[in-house]
Amino acid sequence: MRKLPKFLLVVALLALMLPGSLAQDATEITFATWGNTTELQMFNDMIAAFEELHPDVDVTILERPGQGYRDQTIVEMAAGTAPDVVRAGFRGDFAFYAHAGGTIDLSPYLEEGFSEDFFPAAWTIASVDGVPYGIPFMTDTHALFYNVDYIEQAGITVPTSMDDCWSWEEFSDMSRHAMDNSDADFGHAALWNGKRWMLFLYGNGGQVLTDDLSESTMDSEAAIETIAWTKSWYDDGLAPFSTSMKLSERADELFINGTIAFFISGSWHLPNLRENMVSQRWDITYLPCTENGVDADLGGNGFAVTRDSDNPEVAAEFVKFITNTENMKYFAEQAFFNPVRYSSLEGLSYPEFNDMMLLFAEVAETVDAHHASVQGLPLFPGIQNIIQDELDLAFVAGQSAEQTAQNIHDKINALLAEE
Amino acid sequence: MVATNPETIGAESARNWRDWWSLNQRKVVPYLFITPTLAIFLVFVLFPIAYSAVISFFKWNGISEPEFSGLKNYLRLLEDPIFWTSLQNTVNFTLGVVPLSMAFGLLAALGLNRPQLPGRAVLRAIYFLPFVISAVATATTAGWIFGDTFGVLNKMLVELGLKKVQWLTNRHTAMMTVVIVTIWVRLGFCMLIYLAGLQSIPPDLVEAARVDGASRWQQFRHITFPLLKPTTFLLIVLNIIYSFEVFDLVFVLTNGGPGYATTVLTVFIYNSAFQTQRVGYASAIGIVFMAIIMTITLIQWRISNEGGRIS
Repeated sequence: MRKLPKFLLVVALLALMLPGSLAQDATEITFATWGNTTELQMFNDMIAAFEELHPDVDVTILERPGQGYRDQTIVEMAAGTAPDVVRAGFRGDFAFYAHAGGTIDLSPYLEEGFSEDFFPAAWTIASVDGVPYGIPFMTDTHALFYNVDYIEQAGITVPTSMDDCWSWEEFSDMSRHAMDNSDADFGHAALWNGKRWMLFLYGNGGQVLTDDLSESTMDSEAAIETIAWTKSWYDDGLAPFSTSMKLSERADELFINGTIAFFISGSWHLPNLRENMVSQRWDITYLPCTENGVDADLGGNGFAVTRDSDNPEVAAEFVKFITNTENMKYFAEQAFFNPVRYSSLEGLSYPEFNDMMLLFAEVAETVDAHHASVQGLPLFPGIQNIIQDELDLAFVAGQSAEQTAQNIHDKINALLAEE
Repeated sequence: MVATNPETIGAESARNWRDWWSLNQRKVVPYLFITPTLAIFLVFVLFPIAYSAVISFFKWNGISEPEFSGLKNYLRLLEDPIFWTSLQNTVNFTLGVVPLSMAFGLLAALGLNRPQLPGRAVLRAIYFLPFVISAVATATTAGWIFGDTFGVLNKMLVELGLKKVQWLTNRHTAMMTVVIVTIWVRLGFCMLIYLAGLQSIPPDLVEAARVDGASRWQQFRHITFPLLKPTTFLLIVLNIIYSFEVFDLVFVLTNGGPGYATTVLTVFIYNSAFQTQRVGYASAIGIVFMAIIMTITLIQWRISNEGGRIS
């Protein structure tokens, strides 16, 4: 009688050890990302497909909130415990992680000519001095959302092509006209940050830094003019103060609840507007422009492999897989983003908002190359912070455009000198 | 005779151990009790502070190799106008929150200490609730109340025929709004501590004063309030520390704006560490910040002790 339990114990122990020994053979990698339910589902589908192709690899997804994602990644890199694959934004993340030694050079894992299929601006932003420290995945840009009901009430006709875009003055007039002649409380608002404001600066022929990226050019006439115009939105009562740089109310919510007639932001709002802006009609058109140039917001992100990865080769293979032509196209179509591979554009068709997405794609092509290189700097988060703080002082605290431009100029130069 | 038998040696050492234990048990046991807390304190409080102090002498972006920079971070801090603005904002916030939350907390405690008050348990819970809810949830709710364009408060003002107020977007009103929201949160905590203080006052003393003809105000002025002095000192110290440490509520409600109007030291530290990646500089601010809190606490402690001796 005493021998049976002992035998069972041995069998049980062996059974417990078996999956463990099998698991030891599998290569495990971790992949940290943010995303809404649809996006996370798509990533899980891609992981399942990758694991099917590579039965010896086990990918664990670490779902994290977008807010604070970068902070957490930096802390983990500092502690040497970063996941194998991390997501990095087009706001200097790739360069910052690379300069700090947090991510690895992917060129040993990429075939000759791998980068040729990618949009140059996106590939540049994921590289440091020509060395790829990540693979870009998607991009997004801004357009002008408008409340169709209010526009009709006010008798406004919106531009139907980029060549017909409103000038800054015309846009301000239309915003006031909509505010005065419809149920809108305010003309317009943007979902701001320092990076997004740059589209107007470059669109006005200005630059944040000199061509060689060594000094600030924020004391230029173009910069002062851009600050003065965006400041006038608030001074003239066209945009609510609460939507300034350090916002206390979100412009997308103000658009949905009918407070504003125009809303400047990106394509990722489309599903949210479809779900929540049901009592009023809405559409998109081209952003206001100037005669001095043309530019668009360069949003987007991609993936990088960290130095903490025990299996960089597998991690790089996984990054290549999720950024391949089919997966990039699939993600862009379902999540309403623009792909960054030329091959993903072939047959690209969005299940909804197809015309709108094509307009976004048209706008995205106007991204200024210098703008992209500034955003690719490891110092960019600091530069963005300076622009954001000073613009907030201009928009809501009465600081003059000239003083704001000078302060940004001095602080950026101090930041560059410090490095 | 020296014992050579192993069993004898074992028995002897066990006896020695028992003797030592019976002699030192009273000294050792308290340390065993505090060991888990002490370990947590060392790992999660003392070590990060010490590490932060070291990092404050380095230029470091948080990931790469730190570069020694001597006193540069501290010298920079002295010349940084945003540091001084943040310090001023923190002091203003503290001066606004501490006396008002304590005064309202005391009033609430006095009201809710009456046994005959119907539903006082529910009322106590209602007052205390904001303190136990996450600060982020509280700040989000406060944002819906004080929002400029679709805030509940401004909607009510408009309904009453009054003008909207820029609660969160005006330099002069934003800090006041943050203070009001914090008082709403902190009031329940002050009320709870004051309630504990009130219940420790012997009822005989108040009763004797009443029999002697003291009015309600005189009872409060000469009996209740002086006996609440230790509670008041405790609350002053805790409230000042809590006020200096405020972060999540300000970060969510105003993000330090408009401009730098509500940028308190903790928000400035966060921005320096995670927005501009100056972790060494942020550590230097943190060390100065800790020194300020410690100095205030020591002063309070000294005053409290002297007060205790006088009474």
